[in-house]
Amino acid sequence: MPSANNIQRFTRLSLFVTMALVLSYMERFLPILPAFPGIKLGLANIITFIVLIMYSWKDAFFVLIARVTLLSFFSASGISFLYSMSGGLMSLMAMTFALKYLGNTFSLIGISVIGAFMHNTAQMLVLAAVLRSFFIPLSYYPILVLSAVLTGILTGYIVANLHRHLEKLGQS
Amino acid sequence: MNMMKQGDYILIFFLLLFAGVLFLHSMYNIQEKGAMVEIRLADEDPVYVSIDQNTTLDLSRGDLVNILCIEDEKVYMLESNCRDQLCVRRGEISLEGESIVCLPHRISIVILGTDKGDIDALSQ
Amino acid sequence: MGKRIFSILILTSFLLVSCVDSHRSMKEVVFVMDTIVTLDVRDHANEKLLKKMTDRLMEIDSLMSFSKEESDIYQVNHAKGESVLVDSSTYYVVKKAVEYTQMSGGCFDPSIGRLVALWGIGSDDEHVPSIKEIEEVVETIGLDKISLSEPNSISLMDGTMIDVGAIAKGFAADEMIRIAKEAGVESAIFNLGGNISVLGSKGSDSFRIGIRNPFSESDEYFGIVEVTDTSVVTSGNYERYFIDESGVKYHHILDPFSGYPADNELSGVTVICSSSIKADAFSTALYVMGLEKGLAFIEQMDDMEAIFVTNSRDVYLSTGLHASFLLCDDSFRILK
Repeated sequence: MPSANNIQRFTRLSLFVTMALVLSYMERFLPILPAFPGIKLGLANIITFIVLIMYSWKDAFFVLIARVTLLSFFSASGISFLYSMSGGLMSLMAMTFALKYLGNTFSLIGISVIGAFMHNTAQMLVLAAVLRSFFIPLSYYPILVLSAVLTGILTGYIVANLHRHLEKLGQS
Repeated sequence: MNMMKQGDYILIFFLLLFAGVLFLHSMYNIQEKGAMVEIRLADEDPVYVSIDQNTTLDLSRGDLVNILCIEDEKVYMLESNCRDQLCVRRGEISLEGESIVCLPHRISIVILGTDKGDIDALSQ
Repeated sequence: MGKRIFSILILTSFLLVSCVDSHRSMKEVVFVMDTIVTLDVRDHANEKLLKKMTDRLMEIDSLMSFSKEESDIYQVNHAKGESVLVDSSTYYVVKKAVEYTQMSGGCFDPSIGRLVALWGIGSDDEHVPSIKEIEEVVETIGLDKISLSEPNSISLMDGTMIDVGAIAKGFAADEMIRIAKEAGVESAIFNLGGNISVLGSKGSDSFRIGIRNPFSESDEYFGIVEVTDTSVVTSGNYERYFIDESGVKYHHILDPFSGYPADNELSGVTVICSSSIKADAFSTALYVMGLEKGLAFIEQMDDMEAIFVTNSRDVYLSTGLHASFLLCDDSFRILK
């Protein structure tokens, strides 16, 4: 018998999944560095991260997996599904761990950077597995790391502020 | 920025350092103008083409369109019908170690150095 | 007076152009016959010549392709026993294929079309066929299933298919040499996906052709042959293959008798012969024959030399080759 709580939770999560999907989809239209494949702003991570902070890691994983899976239906690209899923999972696991145990060393921004770094590293490893060689992926890796730092700071900042506002709203 | 902790700064510093070191390392492997272009299609044996020939190679197989250009010792993917167009957007490459990859079509183009001088062709 | 000067000028410029032209070298790279072909014409080169060569390559591909529906080979394979009139080039190639089948005792056989399609190696459909499927298809293999009638008609027993893919590149290489020679070219080297043909020599030296190391992933070679006016063709179990779930490797050189990839001690065979179509056919045939039979066979042939490489990195050379083969990788050794 689905309790009111469960329905509420499911609805909430679905909302988050939708928001993540929209952000993910719209990101394509932002022209960022065409010379370097794989460099994205990762705006959908804002949603995943917020869910992680405000609800639970289980909820965050749900949102992530749902978002990546649904997105792959729209784009019909097997490889990008692999990238997004592996990057997303690695990054979320790292962020969950950091949030729980390293919350004193790092602020939300730092945790976001950790997440972005893990995401891009996972992508580099997947590329190496597909090409069966580290040669090309390693040549891109420095850029990926730099991009992770920058986008990590950006999304971390947005999440931190969003969190603050939402907390305030929650209290009123 | 507000509320950043000390750990954040240390993390960012080390990541940037990491990226910098990796970058310098790949630059250190002397950035020579490449001499051979290695073309790999899916799982097949790679084929080698000298970079000093101006040519347009139609690497299309079946429905997968890829057209590679070698011009003035620069290599670029002229056209492809892949979804992400990353191979085309990669632009021109000309240095040893640089590469163009069309992942959906499983094509990899890498520029190699000059040490093929000892033979005129490879029978395989 | 003016006219004379004018005609002298014209004549001189023609002479100058042909002088320059005779030293002109050109290279062309095309993707055709499912592989990359490099044409390196080292003298007397011009756009028209190169175009003639690439056009001929396209033509050969469209005539002899196994899969393209417009090709002669496709028509013959799908004629259900009817006789088909083909292009004289196609007829020549099939005729040569039949000749080589007889010479090699069936180790090279173009009638393996259905067997090749069954295994599907190199396509998305590569798999190990069932014993029954293989037995059925092997029944369709054999010279008696092919009928040639002059001038240009071919018919096959219904159910048999021919695939000249194993010698098409050789034929194409020979055609490149022919066209170049006709145009007065003295030195050239053509590389058709690893199938090498050289015309003349490289200045005062021979052309140096590397022989691919079968055990290395990239373009390493274990030895070099110095050649002029000849063709060097290699067949190996490292070129096209797939590995099934139990880790067994199946390569593309099929034994026409058993229906399975030729399973012997060889990793690769290189044949050197002035006729590239012959070299192409026999590099396959010798591989199927195996080391012992292959060595015995090659000694009987005056116009061919061969290099055999075994799975244990032993290299065997036919007697005529000892002088012009240079070993450059000492993880291999030459045995007699």
